[in-house]
Amino acid sequence: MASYLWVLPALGLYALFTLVPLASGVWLALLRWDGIAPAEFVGLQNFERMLRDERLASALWHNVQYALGTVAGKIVLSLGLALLLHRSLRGRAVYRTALFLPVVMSFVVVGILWTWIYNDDFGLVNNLLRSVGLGGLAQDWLGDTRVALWALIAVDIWKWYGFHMVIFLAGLQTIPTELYEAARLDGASRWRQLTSITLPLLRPVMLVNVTLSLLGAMNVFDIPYVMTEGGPANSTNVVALHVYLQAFKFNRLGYGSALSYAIFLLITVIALVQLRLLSRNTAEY
Amino acid sequence: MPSDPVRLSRPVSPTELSTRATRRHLLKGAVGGAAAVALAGGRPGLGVAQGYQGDFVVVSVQEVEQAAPTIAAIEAANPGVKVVWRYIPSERFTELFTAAQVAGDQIDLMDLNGQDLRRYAIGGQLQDLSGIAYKDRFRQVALDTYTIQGKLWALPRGGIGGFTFFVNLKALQAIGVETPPETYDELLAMAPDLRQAGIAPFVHPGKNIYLWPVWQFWAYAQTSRNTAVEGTARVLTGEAKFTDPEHVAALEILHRFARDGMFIDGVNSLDNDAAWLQFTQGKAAFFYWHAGSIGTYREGDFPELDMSLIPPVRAVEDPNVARQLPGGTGSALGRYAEAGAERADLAASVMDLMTADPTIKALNELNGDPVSVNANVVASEDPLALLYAEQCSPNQITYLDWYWPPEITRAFQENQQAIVTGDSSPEQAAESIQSTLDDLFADGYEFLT
Repeated sequence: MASYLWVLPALGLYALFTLVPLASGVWLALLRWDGIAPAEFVGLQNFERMLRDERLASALWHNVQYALGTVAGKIVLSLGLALLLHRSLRGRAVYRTALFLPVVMSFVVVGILWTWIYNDDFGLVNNLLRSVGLGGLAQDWLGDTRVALWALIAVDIWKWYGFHMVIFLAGLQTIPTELYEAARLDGASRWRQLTSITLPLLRPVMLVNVTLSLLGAMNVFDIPYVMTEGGPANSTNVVALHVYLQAFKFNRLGYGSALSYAIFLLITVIALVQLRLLSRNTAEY
Repeated sequence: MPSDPVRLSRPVSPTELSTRATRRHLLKGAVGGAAAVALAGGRPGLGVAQGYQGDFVVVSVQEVEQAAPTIAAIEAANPGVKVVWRYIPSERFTELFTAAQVAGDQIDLMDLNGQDLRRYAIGGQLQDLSGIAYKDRFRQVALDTYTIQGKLWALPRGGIGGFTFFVNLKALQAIGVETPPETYDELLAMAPDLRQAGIAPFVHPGKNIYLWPVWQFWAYAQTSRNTAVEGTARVLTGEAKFTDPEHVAALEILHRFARDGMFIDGVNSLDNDAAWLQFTQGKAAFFYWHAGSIGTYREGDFPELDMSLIPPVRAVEDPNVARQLPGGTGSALGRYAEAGAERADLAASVMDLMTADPTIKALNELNGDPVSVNANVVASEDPLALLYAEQCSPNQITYLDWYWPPEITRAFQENQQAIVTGDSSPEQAAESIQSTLDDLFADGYEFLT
């Protein structure tokens, strides 16, 4: 009993600032309320509305593309860099620090910075392409509906690869060097060592990285909000931005709340599936 | 505001462009404003109410520093009254005001963006001000803007300003043109020479959620034969549709601009800052922008820019159609419906003070407004402001997104961007916008005139 009393203050705070808002959010999802006129109870109408919300469907599809692009990009890039920086290398600490820097930068700073880098006229990307004779590839990165989402994905990868790289580095350091020595004695090539030792033993770390980047992709808001506001022509609208627009721009607080819970459920399911995979596929040595 | 477009890196609504001031303006204005408002406060009876002592709360889209002279004048005129000025940025007004309401906070006056007035008036959050005795203080267009269902819900404060075509005379001189164009055909004729000289005909911040719809306002004003507000009201009441020919024709004007290569490359990804930068660096000859930029232009050093302005070019055949432009009439000062009765007299006298000529003159100077909402106030002597007052103000119509719900603004933005990129035709865009409105109707939306 005494132990419960010890945790009671923390539980009280948790209830006040987490559980009560969560519960009141559920109630809000059952209302039609614009924040001005009196609220009206509408039952599950806000949830039904999701089924016929075409913009939600397109936003969800953008999230899926975002997830595919960022997960693949982050994992490949961060793993490659981690393998490089795991070796004995002069100035290794400097490289590690430099590559980690974007992680600690604010989303807004990153968004504004890349908006200028992508500028069609005086941006770094297009001018770099023009200066090396690839002017034909220069384009309006954020203003063209065909490439805008992928331009954002590239920024997200740039922002987060350092974080995943550090996790991979930590994983690499846990692999006993004796395994590599034994493999070399057996005549295994570097490629064989990578595929037969490194990657299988990195699987738990890989799953953590995939899970984190997948959840981040389903939850993404900052980068599209700052860089494109969901445009051009709705081509970069994602679910979290859609929720924000519904709740705070269109003043549909009930529907915005219902959407938030739907995302919460979706992300929970994804996380649970990933955790299950994680618990099943742990390699041992 | 005056808008300081170079410093704006987030989406900013046309109204906000009219109500923001730069830091330099704030400091400059605070001195002049204090003197002016002290005069207003010193006028016998103005701003003075007997009896109540305690807090008096104004929620406002105007920043506290900017309002300091007004606050000082109210407190000087009413000893024992402490003004609590709660600044709420316009884009967060609904959420923060609702939070204050739900918390049961004291609220006496609401100093809103004009575009939010309709929502609060219809939502029963404001008191009817139709009976005030000093209506003749204001320009009629400003009173009309804040009159809904025959009742006056707010008093205008600030300046009248809108979006018009700014022109870089240096760009025109570079191709041997002395006079800015009056029609789209004239503009089109000079476009090849401009491009040859490395100058884009037009720059526009196409990324900003509000600014493609604002483009539609001038175009629709012409295709509707100068009945844009009435035509919009008909659509919002369900009597007409966005797919009707005059709306599609307005979208077609945008399509022509895009098809004829009038816009600078990357127009859809330009925010306010980037578009202003392109214009001031002489990379575009024309810029559809807010009159508040006159102040920014005067303050800055732009060697590549010799700025002037014209009303939007005529893009329809009929020469009798006026070249109208959209704009707003300052912020909207209303009295909160649930304000305490014991502060009613004080609220009335404070509103009188906050809209008095000296107060508004100070505010106009602070914001660099081209035209004042008060009939007897000359807002600015700047030649460009006077040009705006002469050529543009008489043809100003209210922003149409002050009438329609924000979902329609978003629908316009998305679809106009698609027209510019070539992903959508004007007809398809109109269908999509109308379908957004139909969804709103199905959801119970009702427009009250």
